[in-house]
Amino acid sequence: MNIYLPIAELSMNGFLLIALGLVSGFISGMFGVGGGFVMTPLLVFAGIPPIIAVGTQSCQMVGTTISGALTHYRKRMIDIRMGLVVITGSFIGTFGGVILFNWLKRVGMIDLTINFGYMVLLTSVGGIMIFESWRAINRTRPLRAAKAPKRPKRLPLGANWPFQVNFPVSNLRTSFFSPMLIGLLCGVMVAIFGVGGGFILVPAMLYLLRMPVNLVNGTALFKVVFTTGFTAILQAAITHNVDVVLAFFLLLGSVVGAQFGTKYAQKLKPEMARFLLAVLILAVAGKLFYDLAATPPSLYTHEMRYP
Amino acid sequence: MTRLAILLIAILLPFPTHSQDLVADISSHEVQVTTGFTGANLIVFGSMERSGDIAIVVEGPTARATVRQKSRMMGIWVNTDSYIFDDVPGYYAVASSKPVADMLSPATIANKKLTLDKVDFPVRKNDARAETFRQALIQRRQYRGFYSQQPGGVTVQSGHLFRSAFALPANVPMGPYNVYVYLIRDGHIQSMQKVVFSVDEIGLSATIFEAAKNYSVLYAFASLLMAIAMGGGSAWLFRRMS
Repeated sequence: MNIYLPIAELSMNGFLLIALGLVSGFISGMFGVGGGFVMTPLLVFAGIPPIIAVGTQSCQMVGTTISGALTHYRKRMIDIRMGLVVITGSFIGTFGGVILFNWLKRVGMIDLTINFGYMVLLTSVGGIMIFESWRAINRTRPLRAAKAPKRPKRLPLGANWPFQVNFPVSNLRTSFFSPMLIGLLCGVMVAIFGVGGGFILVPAMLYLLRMPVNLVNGTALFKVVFTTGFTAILQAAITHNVDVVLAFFLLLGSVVGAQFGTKYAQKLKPEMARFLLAVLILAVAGKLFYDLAATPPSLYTHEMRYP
Repeated sequence: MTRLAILLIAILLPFPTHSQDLVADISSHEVQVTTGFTGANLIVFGSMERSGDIAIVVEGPTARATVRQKSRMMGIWVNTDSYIFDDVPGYYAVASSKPVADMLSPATIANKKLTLDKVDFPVRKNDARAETFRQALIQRRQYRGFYSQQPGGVTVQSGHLFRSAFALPANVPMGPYNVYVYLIRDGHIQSMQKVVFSVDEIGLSATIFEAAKNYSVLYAFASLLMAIAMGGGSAWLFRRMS
């Protein structure tokens, strides 16, 4: 079943797109992330121009994450106040990121930035997570369990900064600026890499803000819905990179995959889920590194701009 | 359809005006890109009064092309140089009944751009790099199926009827196309006929393309609404099912 994608201006197999959606949706539901960091490289690999892949992704992720976010909301597993502060920072970051994206596109550095920056980001986030989750897995073993509570509670990032705010749901107190700064960085990532920022936000909320584990996934999804929604509007209205037909077929798969992912996640220990997510992140980073280092089939690329 | 057309021409041609040495037409004057479009085949066919050779050029709408060159920097491949060409045809295909070098002088081949390496693009500023980038561009277009050269791609039947097929890929550029049919005898171009056609987006994909360009804010909210509806819908459905 071949489908012509009017904005990407090429034709692709519809079943393949639905299958891609299923995979990324499953990952999204399982780990509380948007799934964009897996989907964007897959779409580019399938032949979609990177900028269209990034733009369309943002639209598709709104649909994928909204169902997960609704489920978490019903179970009261979202720190709304924390989420709103992160979102505020993220909006500012996204806006700056879109401007940066267009500038990089003009000077021809967009492919490099997407690939290289992404690789560095994935490697560092994946590396930290795999290290931490491995330790957490070992800590939960009964022998060492007694040691765990003795460790002093570590302070969140920004505990000494001005503008201290209480976050009662997460039971912590920190500066308004620390979640805002994290949101800002995520927002830039959202605009440039076409990811929701969930896979950065999940470890950032855990290790930097020291939020309770059970609130992290829901709050990240809550944030991803808003930022990807905002990016989707900007990408469609300003940069014209959203292919609605492509988004539709991806969504057909991803909204179903997300439901199965959420179900499966409940059977998994949180540290085990983080460990698996870290492995997945590092695998994507490895693929990107290979693409950058391996000699390309042609040293030349070209783009055509029709009047 | 095409065979019928050739047959009709074969029947009709011997009788009317003897002044026309070459008559050519194409299978479709409008190639329609719909939601199910996966590429198309364009048939160029016709008849010549006395036997000769045929060369056909199909040229698509022009665009500004930016060619970028990668080189290795600190172990990774980075775009290091680029070149801009104006008025580059998005599609360029040549087919002939014999290799053109066997039929025409190099000057004529260059003048009529009958081989891919003779396809020339206006250069913004003259420098030595232009030639390297021009060849790279032609090679990349060829690789993607937008440029092609088929020596022997025109079949001639009984010395009078000729026919050739051109593949238009799924992502063929939209716009006006020109088809030049050359009749060649004794090392010279004896006559030429130009036929035009266009590739147009129609139906749903055209509507979407237009909406995305002209009503981008509306398009943005509509696509967002679709995503929300699909996500919320599936969550609701799964909750009811379990």
